[in-house]
Amino acid sequence: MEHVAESAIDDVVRGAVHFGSGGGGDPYLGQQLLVAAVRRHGPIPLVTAAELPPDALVLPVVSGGTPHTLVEKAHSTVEAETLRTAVEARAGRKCAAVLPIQLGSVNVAVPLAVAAELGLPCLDLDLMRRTLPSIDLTLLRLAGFSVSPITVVGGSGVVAEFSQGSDAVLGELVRAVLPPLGLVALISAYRVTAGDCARLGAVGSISECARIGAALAEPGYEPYLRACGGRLVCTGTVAEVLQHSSDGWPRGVVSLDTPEGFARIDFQNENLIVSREGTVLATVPDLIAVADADTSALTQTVDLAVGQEVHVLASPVDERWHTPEGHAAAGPRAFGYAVDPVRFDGSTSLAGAR
Amino acid sequence: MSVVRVGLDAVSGRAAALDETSRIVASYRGTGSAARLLDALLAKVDAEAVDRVVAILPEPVPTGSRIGILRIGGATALPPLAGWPVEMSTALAGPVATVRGGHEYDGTASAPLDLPAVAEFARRCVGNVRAVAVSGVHGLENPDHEQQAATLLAEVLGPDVPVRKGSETEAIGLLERENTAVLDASLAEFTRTRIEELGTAVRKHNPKAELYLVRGDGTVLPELAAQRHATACLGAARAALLHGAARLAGVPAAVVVDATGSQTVVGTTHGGLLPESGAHREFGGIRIGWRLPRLTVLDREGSLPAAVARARYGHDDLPVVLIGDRPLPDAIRPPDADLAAAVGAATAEAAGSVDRIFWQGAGGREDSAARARQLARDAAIRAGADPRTLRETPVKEALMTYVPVPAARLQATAVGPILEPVAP
Repeated sequence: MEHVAESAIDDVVRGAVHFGSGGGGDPYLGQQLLVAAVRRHGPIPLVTAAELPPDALVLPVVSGGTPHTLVEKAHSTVEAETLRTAVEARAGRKCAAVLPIQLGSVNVAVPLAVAAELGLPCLDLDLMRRTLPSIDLTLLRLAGFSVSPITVVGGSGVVAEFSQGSDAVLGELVRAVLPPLGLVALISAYRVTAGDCARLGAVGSISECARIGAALAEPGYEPYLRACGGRLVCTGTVAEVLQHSSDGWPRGVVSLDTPEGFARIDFQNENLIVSREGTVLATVPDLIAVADADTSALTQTVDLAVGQEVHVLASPVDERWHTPEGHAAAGPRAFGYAVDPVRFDGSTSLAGAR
Repeated sequence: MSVVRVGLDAVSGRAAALDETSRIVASYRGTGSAARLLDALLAKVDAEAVDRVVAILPEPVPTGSRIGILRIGGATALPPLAGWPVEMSTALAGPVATVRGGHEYDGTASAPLDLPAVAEFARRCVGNVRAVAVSGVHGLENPDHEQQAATLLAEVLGPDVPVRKGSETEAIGLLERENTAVLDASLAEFTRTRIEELGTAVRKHNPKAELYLVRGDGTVLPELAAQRHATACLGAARAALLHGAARLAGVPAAVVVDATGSQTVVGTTHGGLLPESGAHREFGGIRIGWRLPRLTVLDREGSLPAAVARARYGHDDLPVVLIGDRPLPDAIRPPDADLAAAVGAATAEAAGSVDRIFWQGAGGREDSAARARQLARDAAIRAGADPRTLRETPVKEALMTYVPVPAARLQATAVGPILEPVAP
């Protein structure tokens, strides 16, 4: 894929929802943002890391905040320029391309829109290969990079920079500055070159979204499963959606009435664990999607309605998340669940051991 | 003297008059406008006895008059109408402006409202537009800036240019509320004209009768509110049919199967409400703030028993009411089934809903849930409900994701019978 034209936007955003694993924001906002950007600036060029000089600085971009406030005050064009200026000033050189930090409907659309706004190409890769709730959960960090320096730009022109320190602490600090910014901010992190991206090799992210999105547009869920290599876990009726916030973080449970008994999905922002009658069927870091049985559209978990008939679909994530380090960072225990990781197909092996 | 309620279904050309016990005392099957249906029906009924007329009008087409569009705060990356089909935005958009202002999720102002910029926008609208739409960021959490701008616009443009505010639609999402306000504004003239015509026809028969329109959820909007919100009534015929079919069958709640068209539609009416699907309604390909009821649409090959089982989920004892002709054992086939939508209109209740973000910092969750319930009750009473007989749904809470803050999206609905006019 060489560019994102208006005709490709629906597929790209629909496919990005897959990588949201039940979170990542309502696709309508992402779709509208991209249509606006393409109509104003033309098709958004995509590049591979190999097409850029290896030492070229790239601009990692992620939208911070919560979907409920993003749909009120999405990013403005000014914030993109402010973010670039701050990152370039610190690095002492120009950025050659925008780099999506994670995949998800909002966080595919925002880097693409930022690229259009800045007149830069967007790299056809990303650092996470899915949506995870913190910017320190990336393959780049598993490869030994520090998440700092972090730049946070708020809508009112506020710029906050976190230049060094423990990645976990920095992740907390970023979340702590979001409330006074109205829970919406444009964020950059990591010091990355095109050569780093080439070595990381998480290629074809936007193209993958387009390919999976095209499959999702076909009737039924089988084309989607073929496209993402996943499997149907179960089909059931939503019996209950509960959320509580005992430790400051929203934790939720979806109960599904299935012909084989009650299934449950534990979720926080994304779906984390799907189990049935006490048996864990699949967990994070693999992807767990919920599709409406009538429309086959993938659904944000918080939008599920009691009585809705749904398919639960699990699919594989980048193999590097299935290392001991990957499981420690993004396995179920990292989210506070006393459960060992189970892959989308029910197996439990680590990467390279299959 | 006994009281008579009239339901007019101008989509299918049906009219029904019901007494207080919801018994049909007269009906009319024909063609023509709602006013003509009323004339024909009241040839058979004493117009003096009619205290309420509830109408379903044919759905408008999504083109209307040229309007001005004002955005308060919000993303410059996503200006008004940015993602609309180009032919639609070109046809409707007069002056478009985004001004500083708007609010945060906790209701505090992001920036002071730029009143000089609002005044400049208003001047650009003079003589150029038939209506104006004003939408502010977090306008539900705090409608203050929208209200200030609307007041200023009214001063400059005068009383003949209607102003629609985003906060008049109870929906999270600036674009969803703005799109709704824009479409309501563009249809303002058309909607006012046709509802005024019907109002005139009603009062010609009985000056004391009240006129209501059916909304997309099958509950009512008073005449004047309906003039302001054309999009609120989208889907009214379907919704009224679901409620009316249960009334005709003499049951308070039901799974309703409508097999009259080329497709079979299965829905549920329960507690006077249609369960929501969570999906947004679209109009002319544009997403608006109203939600769609949960319906299953089947073609001829689709399995009806499976669809009925799903519609019944959680309420295993719901009876099934069938309108039209399909084999379905144990279904109630009510008499006068072709009058279902008209009967649903005549017997419709009034409802109000809340769906917004509540800051739970000060009073905590119980306090915000109480505020949500009160807002839903207030909205139901504004729609015409009798405050003494309101019923409420449980408050549904969705926590904010990705950020640990004490704020949540709360949804609640109150519904009940329409307030009876005081006997003279």
